[in-house]
Amino acid sequence: MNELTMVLDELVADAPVEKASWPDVLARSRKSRRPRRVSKRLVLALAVITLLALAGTAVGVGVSLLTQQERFHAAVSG
Amino acid sequence: MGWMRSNGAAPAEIEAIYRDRCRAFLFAVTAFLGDGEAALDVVQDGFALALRNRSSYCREGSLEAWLWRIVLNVARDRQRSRRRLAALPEFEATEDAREPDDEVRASLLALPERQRLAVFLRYYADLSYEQIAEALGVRAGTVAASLHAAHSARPC
Repeated sequence: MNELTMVLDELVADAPVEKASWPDVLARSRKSRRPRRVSKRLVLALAVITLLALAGTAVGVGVSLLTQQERFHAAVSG
Repeated sequence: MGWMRSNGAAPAEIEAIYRDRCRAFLFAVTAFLGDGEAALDVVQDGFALALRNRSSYCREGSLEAWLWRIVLNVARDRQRSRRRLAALPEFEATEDAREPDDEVRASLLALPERQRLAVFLRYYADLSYEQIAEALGVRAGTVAASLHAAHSARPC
């Protein structure tokens, strides 16, 4: 058991216990929160813009086809 | 009085455990990763993550076991990404391990991850079988078997 205890103690010989700090934990918890919020908002905004662009394009193409159809019928009947 | 307790952990509760048990967390993760600086980063990140997600602690188990689970998950993620980056192989007992200490070390580090963690949590953090089980997300019987297997795996 002594050998195992010695090995386990050796494994943690370089553990920087004195560097552990609660203010650093607090800073880390605040730091990584913001980018995630920003990125979520960014993704949402991009999704909305993409949807609007696709919907706008679809409506534009539809209107254009309808106009062409009306012109064609007008030309045929006229 | 359980009805008075709301879900989630208070930042002060997490801070109290950090201040009281930081050394144990740091030792266990250092032994697991084999790198003190990386272990410090993991412990700090783990507690920061716990602070951010403190509302998800449902008070079914102990807060310390919940914190251990978070920190150990961060440690496992860190180890996986380090292996991917450096293509580090799993530690294997080599024939160079001639000294008795080296043999013990090699046997210990060659143990499966769960057994190794059970040994580290028992030795560095002095956790009970039930607490280790909670921290590792297994049953207490599994912890007892893991520790027994770990002790049996040591060279005579």
